[in-house]
Amino acid sequence: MEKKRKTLRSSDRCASRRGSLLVDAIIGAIIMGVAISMLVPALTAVRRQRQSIRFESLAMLELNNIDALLPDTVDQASPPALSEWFHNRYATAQLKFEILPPSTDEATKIQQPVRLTIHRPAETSLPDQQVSVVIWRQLPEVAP
Amino acid sequence: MNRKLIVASAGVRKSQPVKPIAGRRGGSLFHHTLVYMTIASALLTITGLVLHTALKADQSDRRESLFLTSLLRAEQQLRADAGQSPLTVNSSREMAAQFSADAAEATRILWTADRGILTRSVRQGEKPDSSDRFIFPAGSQIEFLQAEGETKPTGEVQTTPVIVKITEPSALVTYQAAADGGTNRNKPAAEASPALPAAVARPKTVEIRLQGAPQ
Repeated sequence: MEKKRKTLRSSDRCASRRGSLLVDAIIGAIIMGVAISMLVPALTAVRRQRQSIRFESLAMLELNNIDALLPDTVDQASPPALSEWFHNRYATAQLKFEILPPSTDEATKIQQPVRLTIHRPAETSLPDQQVSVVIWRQLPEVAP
Repeated sequence: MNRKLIVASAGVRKSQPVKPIAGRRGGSLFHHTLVYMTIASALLTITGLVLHTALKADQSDRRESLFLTSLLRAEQQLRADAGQSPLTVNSSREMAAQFSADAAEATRILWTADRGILTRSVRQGEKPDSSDRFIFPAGSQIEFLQAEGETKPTGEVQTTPVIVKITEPSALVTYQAAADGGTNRNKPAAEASPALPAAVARPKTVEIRLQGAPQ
């Protein structure tokens, strides 16, 4: 009877050993799955953040380009346009040209504030992006 | 279940307790070892891939940071120089500005481009004064261009914009991913800045546009 019990225990141990292997594999797969499911979104978020920073830097550079080459007197009839290189990179980006009301400050009264904005519509899980700059130009002469 | 082995010996049948069968036990152990090795190798492979991805991401961040830092520094300095005196493009690799009409005492600024390195040298008369370098990631290319100016109907003197064109390294640049533009000067141009076929991707460029000298 005692021998029988011993043999049974040995058999049980063998069975539980086989079972634990499967459990090991499942636990390992779960751990790996959790790690990967956390890592992939984190890396994607970092990449998107990098792209966002790059857009903001290049948009500001493009606004400076427009500012450098914009004539001294603003004319709403011929608004500036985005450069080809910027358009090639960000095809959906748009430039907004907005003439603001003149300042009441005496020092800047003779100048016209103009707001230039580069707007990029929302992409997957990213909000809209826009970069603005206000530049000052001479008011057009008014005929008496 | 109680398993017994009936052993026949010298015509006497005698039952004995079963000893573990060496062949079966060994096979079972080998099987376990194989499964453990599979699980361990899968874990190690995934850990290696994760580490590799993290390192690549770090390198990529470093390149991005180097590119944007150098670009913004160069832009600031170029605009400051163009604001003081109009820049004149001498060749695709050189442009200059001069602050005084007197050549002997003039402050002369010379911008030179050599693959991924932009150098700004200042000379007071004949004497070198200072030098500054703007280093872009390896594989970058920089050139100076003089754009065609528009002619105004009013006859106003029109300046032609000067363009500093920076081409980013292509995906084929695999050497020294975290290095800078200074490490590839001894390589042939085709190897230092390999171009992607036009059908695959267009090269990514950035242009800094500045006021040039009057036409």
